Amino acid sequence: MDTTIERVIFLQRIELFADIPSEQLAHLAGITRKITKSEGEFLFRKGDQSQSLYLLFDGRMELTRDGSLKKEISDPEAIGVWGFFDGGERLLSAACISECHFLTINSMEFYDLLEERVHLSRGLLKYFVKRIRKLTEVSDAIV
Amino acid sequence: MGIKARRGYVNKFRHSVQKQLIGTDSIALNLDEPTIYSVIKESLQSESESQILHTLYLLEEADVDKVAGELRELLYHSSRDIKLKALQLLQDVDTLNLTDEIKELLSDSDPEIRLETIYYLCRHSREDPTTVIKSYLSHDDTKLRSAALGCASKHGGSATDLVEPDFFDRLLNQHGKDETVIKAQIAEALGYIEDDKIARKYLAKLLDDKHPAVVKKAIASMGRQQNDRFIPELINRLSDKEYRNEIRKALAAFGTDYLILYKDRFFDSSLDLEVRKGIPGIFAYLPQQKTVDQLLAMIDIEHPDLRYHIIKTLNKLVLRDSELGMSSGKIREVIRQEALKFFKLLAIKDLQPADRPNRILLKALEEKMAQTQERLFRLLGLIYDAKDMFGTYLALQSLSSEKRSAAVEFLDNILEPADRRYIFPIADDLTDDEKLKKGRELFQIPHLRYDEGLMQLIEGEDPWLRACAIYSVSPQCPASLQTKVKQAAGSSEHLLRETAELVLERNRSNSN
Repeated sequence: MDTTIERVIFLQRIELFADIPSEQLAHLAGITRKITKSEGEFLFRKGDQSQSLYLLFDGRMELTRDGSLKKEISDPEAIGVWGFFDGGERLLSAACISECHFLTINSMEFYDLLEERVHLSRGLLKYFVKRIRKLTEVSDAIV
Repeated sequence: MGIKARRGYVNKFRHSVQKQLIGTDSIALNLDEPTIYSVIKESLQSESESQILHTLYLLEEADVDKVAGELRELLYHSSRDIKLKALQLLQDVDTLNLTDEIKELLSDSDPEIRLETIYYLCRHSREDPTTVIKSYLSHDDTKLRSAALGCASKHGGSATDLVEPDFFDRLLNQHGKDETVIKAQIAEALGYIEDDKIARKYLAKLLDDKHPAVVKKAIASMGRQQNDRFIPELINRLSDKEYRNEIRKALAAFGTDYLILYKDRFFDSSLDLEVRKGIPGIFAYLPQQKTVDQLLAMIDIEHPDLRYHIIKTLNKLVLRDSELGMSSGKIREVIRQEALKFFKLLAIKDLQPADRPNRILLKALEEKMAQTQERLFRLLGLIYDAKDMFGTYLALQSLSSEKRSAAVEFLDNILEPADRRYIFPIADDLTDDEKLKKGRELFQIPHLRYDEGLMQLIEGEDPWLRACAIYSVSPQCPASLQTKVKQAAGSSEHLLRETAELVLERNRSNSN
């Protein structure tokens, strides 16, 4: 996962970025950093300030709230999406249950890139509209 | 009946003012006319900031003595723009002297308001204007010194005659909380200064300032100075997205005579691609036929990204002024070229096995075809109704087959046969095979082998397609492609080099 093209291929597998053209993902790949966390290590804890998005490309993690397990996740997955966009506090804690490898994106660098790349914003908007549509359909079904 | 007609006129005028329908450059209001006076007075007291501001702009050519009282009240408005405009209008009012109360505005946080306040004091104080300006140029408060400099430069001409030789250095070496404001004010003032040497010396310095507000003012001043020695530096900085719009405005301020120079730079392949991409945007600030003609002369550029920026600028100009004439022959020739490009990409896409690792090249080709389609519809928007074409383009992207069919039917009705010929096989709901068959008939596109398709992409101009094509070279590919990968490993372009190195390593371990 050291070259731009490998990172683009990985980013395409993340639902959040699925509607972004691959050429634009190459720009996004340019601001990613590779990090590794050991088994048992926390990526972040509930209440932490959100500044980065973590993209798990190898490993398994668990998300917990107040000690109880909420979700177990494995690669490929984006972790900390909502906090990354609203800059709020982390709502869950994220811990590694195996050695985990991530690409991280810093929010400030990400917004700088968005300013310059309208096609990136378009792709993200599509993702969020899809999510809202899905939620609306679910809430309609409940009603 | 006369009264009714008059009431109708008043209501219409009031409505136009409220809705800001009157062009500010097309009218000189006569405030001696009671109806106009009452509507303007009412409007200046409006709750709506945009309405007040619009009305102030309407008053630019009028004798505003009659509304001086209202303008005076607006000096205390919370909106900076309203306050500034009211102050500027009051400069010409002699029936009301506000020198004592207006001095309060010297401590306003906005540098332009401080500047205009000093100008007002120069014009309306009992003392000689030169004495007044000199008193502020040597004032203890550096903010007022810089405001005075700005005032003298903007309104008086040669401010440099009034100051000591080290005036600028002393002000620019100020540090502290007002540093940015002072530098920004100096940067602005330099735009009005007649001494070319001083303007060049300090603007060049301020262009590298760490504060964006200062840099933006320096750029605007370079545009105002219209000294063509600034042009190369401004063009080189077009790659800086933070200042790109300011730079474009500044370069546009040099006027249409410089468009040929900008065109030459656009075609200069030794220039950074980001700089070249930024050039068409300059033209968008000059909505004239001459501009359109130059852009049409630039549209032949082969590079798809560069061509996209030309088309986008033409779209902007046409939306702003539908009277601008487009050479339909030229546009149609570009439509033909773009359609050919689409089918060439489709022919290469057709060769891609679906089981290739990660399908990165396939996706890149699909994206490039989608971009070609967008350019085609933008081009159609130059010779047909732009909004119709945009709507049709969106409908064709829709997931609804009904919408897509309706869009195709619409195109069938409005496109001329010459355009239909190229657009239809691309827009119609056909399979890729059917589209390609039509494309081959239209352009005699030859049947390629897989490796020939890859070779075309690797030798092409598009860096992303080149990288994806290199990534797709497997150990089974012919020697000519392996050689290309080896060559790319020595490329100066980072993306190509690292992709080629990756492929060489991957293919080596696959063959072992």
